[in-house]
Amino acid sequence: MLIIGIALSILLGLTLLLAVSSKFTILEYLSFSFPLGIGLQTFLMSVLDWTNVGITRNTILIISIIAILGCLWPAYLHLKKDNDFLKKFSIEGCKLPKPNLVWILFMVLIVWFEGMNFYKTVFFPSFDTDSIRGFNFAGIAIAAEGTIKNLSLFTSPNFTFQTNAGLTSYTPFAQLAYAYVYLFGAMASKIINALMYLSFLGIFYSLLKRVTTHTAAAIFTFMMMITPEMLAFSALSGINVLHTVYASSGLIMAIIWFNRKDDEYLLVISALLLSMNCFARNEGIVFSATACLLVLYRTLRRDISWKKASLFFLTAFFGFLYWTLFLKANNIQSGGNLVITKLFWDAEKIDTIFRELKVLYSNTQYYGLSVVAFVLLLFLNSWNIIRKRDQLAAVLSTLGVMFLYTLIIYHIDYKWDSIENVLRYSYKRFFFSFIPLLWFYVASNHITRWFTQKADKLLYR
Amino acid sequence: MSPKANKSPIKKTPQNNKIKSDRSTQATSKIKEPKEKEATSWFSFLFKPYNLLFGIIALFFLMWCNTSMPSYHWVYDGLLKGGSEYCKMVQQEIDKRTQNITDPIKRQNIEYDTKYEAKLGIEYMFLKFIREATPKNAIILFPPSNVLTQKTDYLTLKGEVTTKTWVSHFLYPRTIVYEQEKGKNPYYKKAQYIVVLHGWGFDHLDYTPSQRNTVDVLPLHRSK
Repeated sequence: MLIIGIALSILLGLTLLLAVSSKFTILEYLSFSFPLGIGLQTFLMSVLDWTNVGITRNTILIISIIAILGCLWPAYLHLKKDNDFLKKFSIEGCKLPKPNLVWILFMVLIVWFEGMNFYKTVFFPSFDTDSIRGFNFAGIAIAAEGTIKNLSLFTSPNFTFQTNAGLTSYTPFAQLAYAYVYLFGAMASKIINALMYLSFLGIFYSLLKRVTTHTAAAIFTFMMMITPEMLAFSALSGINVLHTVYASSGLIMAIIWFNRKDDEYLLVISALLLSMNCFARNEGIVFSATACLLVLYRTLRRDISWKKASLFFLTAFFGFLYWTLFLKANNIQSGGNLVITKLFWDAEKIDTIFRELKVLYSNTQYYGLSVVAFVLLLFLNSWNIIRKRDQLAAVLSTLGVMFLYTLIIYHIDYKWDSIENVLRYSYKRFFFSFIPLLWFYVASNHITRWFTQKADKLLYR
Repeated sequence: MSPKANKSPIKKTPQNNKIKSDRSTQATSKIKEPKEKEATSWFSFLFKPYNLLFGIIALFFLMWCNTSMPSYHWVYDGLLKGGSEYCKMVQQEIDKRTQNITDPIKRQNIEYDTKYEAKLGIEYMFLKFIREATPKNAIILFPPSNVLTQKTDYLTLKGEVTTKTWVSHFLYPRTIVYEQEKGKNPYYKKAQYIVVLHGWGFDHLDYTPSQRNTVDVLPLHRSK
C-alpha cells in the first residue's frame, strides 16, 4: 500500500509538471515529481480537513485522482503542441552526457554516497528528539485521528503545543507528509526524507546543467551533497532539509529565469516550490520575498506582464497566507506574539548576532568548503560582478535571504529560549537552505564557467 | 613542401574540378572518420591524455578533502560508512530474532522494536514494556522526574522519559500524566494505571499487590 501512496504522489507531481510545460528534461521530470507531488498532497490534506471531509486514505485517493485529472487536460494540450516531447523518451532522443573520467568519478561518488545515505535514512525510524516530540508524533496522531485542526495534541489539556515555539507555530508540511505515509501503511515516516533528498540531488544537478557543463554540474552537486551537517540531517526527520529542497530550488529557478527572461514555465514551477517552501517553514517567506524582488525588477523593466508577476507574488506566498488563514479560522494559537512588529535598535542584540554568526559562518566542521568557496569566488569574481553584472541576481539573492533571515531572528522576542541557543541550533539548521545557493553561485560565476568550459574542451581533445 | 607552393594558382578545368571534388570527398571522409570512431567507441575518452590528467587531479582533490578536511573525512568514514555498517549490524540482530518467525506482522514488529532498541536503548524497552502492559485507551500515571532518572544498578533512564511529548510518541494513543501535574492536569484524577519504579508508587494503590517489583505497571484500583 505504501508503494501505491508514493506512486500516487509521484504521479500527481508529474502531471502537475506536464500541466505547466512539456519543455523540462527527463531528469527534471523525474526529480521534481516527488517534491511537487507530496507538497500538493499535504495541501490537499489540509483542505480535506478544513472542509470537514477528514483525512483518510480513501479521501486522499479520491482528491488525488481529481487533482490528477484536473492536471491532465492542460498537460494534454501541452503535449499536443509539442511534437518532440515523446522523442525525449526514445533511445535516439535520450541524450546521454558525453562521458569523461571526471564526470564518471563524481557521478559514481554521488550514487555511492547517496546509496549509503538513502539506506541509512530509511533503515531507522524517527529517533531525533525534535521529531519524536513534534513532527513525527503529530504525523502519527493526524493519521490516526484524521484531522489537524481538531487534533488531540492541540485541543487536549494534557498537551501544551499551542504555546510560543510549540508545534502549532510550525507550518504543517512535514507533519502532514508523515501522516500521509502512515495512512498508506508505513511503519516509519522517513521514506519522505529519503525521497526528498534523493530528488533534491537530481533537481540540483539538472538546474546546474542549465547554467554550466555536465562535468561541473556533477562536481558541484557532489560538493553540495557532502556538506557535513546537512547530509547528517538529511537522514533525520527534521524539517530543515525538507524545507531546503523547496526553498533553494524555488529561488534558483527564479534566478535562472531572471538571467534568461524567457522560459516562463520555470517561473511557474519556482512559484509553486516557493509556496511549498512557506508551507514547510514560516521563515520560508524570506525566499519568496527575494524571488518576488527579482520578478518585480523584471516587471519594472517590462520583461514580464504585471498580471503574471502578480500571480507569481500571490503563489509564492500562498503557503504562508493559506496556513495563517487556516490557523485563524480554526482558532489554533501559533505563538504569533513572538515577532516584534515595530522597528527598533538593540545594539546588544546586534552584537550577539554578529558574534555568534561569525563563528557559525566560518565553521567548516558544519558546512565544509561551502562558505569558503563562495567567499573566495565572490572576491575573485568581484570585477565581473561590478563590470558585467555577472550572476548579480544569484549573489544578491544569496546575500539577501541571509540578511532577511537574520533580520527575522533580530525581530523575535526570545521568551522561550535565549538568542544564543536559537543562533547556535536553529540558525545552524536553517543555514542548510543557503548551502545550495552558495554552491550554485560557485558553479555558475564567470570564472568557474570559463574554467570548466576550457577544461571541458580539453577533456575531449 | 613550402607554404608558397600550396598557394600556386590552379586553373579551373574540368579535370581540375574532378581532382578538387575528389579532394573534397577525401576531406569530408577525413572529417567524418573521427566521428564514426567516436560513435563506435564510447570508451575512447579513456585514452585521451587530458581526461586522465583531470581525472588524476580530481582524485587528488578528493583525497585532499578526505585527509585534510576532518569534516569531509567524518562524512565518508563516520557518517556514511560507519552508519551503513551499523545498519548492517542491527539487521543481523533482526535476522537472528526473526529466524523462526513466519508471521509477517510479527516480523515487522520485531524489526521495528529492534531498530528502536538499537537507537534509543533502555528507554525504548521501558516504554515498550508499558505499551504492552496497558490498553490503547489507558490513562497512565508516571513517577516524578527525580524518580524516573534515579541512578540504580538495575535501571537508569535518561532525561527524555521526563518529557511528556517524547514518551507519548511511543505510547500514543494512551494518555500520560506525571506525578508533578497533580492538581494541574484534569487527567491526573482519571488515571487508571501507574508506573511503579524504584519503590515509588505503591502508596497510590488502593490494594496490596501480590508482588512488589522495582519496575512495573499496575492498575491503580483493584476493580481494574
